[in-house]
Amino acid sequence: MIANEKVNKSAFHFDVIFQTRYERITRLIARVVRDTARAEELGVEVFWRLWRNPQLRDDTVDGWLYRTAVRLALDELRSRSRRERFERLLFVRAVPTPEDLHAAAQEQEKVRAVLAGMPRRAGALLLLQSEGLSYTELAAALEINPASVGTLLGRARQAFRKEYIKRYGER
Amino acid sequence: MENGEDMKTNVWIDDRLAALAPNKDWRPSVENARRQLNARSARQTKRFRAWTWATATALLAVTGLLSFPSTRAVAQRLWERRILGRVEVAQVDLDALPVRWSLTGGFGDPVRDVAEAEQRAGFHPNLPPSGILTAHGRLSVIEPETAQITISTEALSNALRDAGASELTVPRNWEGPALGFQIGPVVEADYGDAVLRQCQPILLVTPPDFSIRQFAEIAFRIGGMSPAQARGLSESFAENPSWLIGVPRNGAETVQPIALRAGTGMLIEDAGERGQERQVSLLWNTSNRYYQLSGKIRRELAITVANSLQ
Repeated sequence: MIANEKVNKSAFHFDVIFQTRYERITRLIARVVRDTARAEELGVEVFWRLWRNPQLRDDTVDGWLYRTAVRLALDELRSRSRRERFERLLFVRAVPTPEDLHAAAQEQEKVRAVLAGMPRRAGALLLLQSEGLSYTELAAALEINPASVGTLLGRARQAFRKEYIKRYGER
Repeated sequence: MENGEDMKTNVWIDDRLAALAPNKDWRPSVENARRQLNARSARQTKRFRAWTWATATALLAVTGLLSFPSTRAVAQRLWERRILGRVEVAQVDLDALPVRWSLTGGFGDPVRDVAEAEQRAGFHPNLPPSGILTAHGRLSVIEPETAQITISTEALSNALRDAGASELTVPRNWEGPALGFQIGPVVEADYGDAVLRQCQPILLVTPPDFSIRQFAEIAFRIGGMSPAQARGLSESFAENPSWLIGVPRNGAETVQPIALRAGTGMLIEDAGERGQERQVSLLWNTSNRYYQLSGKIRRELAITVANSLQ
């Protein structure tokens, strides 16, 4: 039946994207949220949203995945939420564990705190560039004019440095 | 041209960001993720839709909006613009609606104080007096977010058939980008255990020949309503569109109207996945503002906060 063929083709297509992108997307999220278990949860959330949005064109899927992943990760960083279920609707504040306290002392946590304090798009730009995305890919992922990427990146770097100094003093 | 200091700074930033990379030996489990996706898919219709501001309105999709900036001027003339004047909760699974929606904007930025929030958002945020919630609210402003709703008439027809509503038909001219909405800016105050969000009413835009009533009836039937319920609600919805939040009937949550000083609010309580944590979300509106208070707090406190706003 035609309908079933379409469903199967769609499911197959999703599986291909999932198999080839899940690890990279989840590692990107893990850079931001530190907790790898939580990163995996958020990685699933990204692909769940993709599953519910099956009509994305092939040439826009990668940008959509990066944009969604980095948004979720930065939101997570800001909210300190441990539960994705309610996303921005409900928040749960967790008691810091010894591991949390130890990690907080590390440079990585300083960088994460700085990213959480920056405008989200600026943080996303820095993270995705660090992930190796080209200017064209950055523009597609964040839906910005390709000609503006360089300027926005420069501003993002300034914002990062300013936020870092504000929090921790001159490096 | 970068000078030496700029280059050193850039290298320093790059090093900081590179240090965030997770352990090379760590590999997220694709198999486990796939199992989780399958499980979520299986229980999708049984779960509560905890809408974010964005998804609530996007999948409310029952009406539409303007999301074609390049044709905004034309759209303002040709499209019907409606303001959603109230918040409403209905027991319907809008997640079952097979529409494609895409969001743009919606980036949030922290702000220093109420004055900056007001300047960025364009309205004065109403916040509870100090002492009601334990922590000082951390403010941020989420820039306007737009969503475009694209309809596949074939997918809608198939969903209607699956829902046993084959007597309804989907107009062929609905195919493609059809609806949209615009929300925000949103001012968010994060108190730790609870988050208060507020924004001005959502703007919905539909093509002039688009029947909101017909679309709503189709959406409600696909979402599990009976023919009579879907017809009745779609008629009242078309007369006075609302910000509609769908809660599946078989979810674990309770939805209850609550009398507030500003009018009637909707309280959604959820026992949590393990039946231990109680999550509360209170939604209400005034003539010019939507409010949403959510958190792991007592319902009495949520009501107190709502009634404390000027």
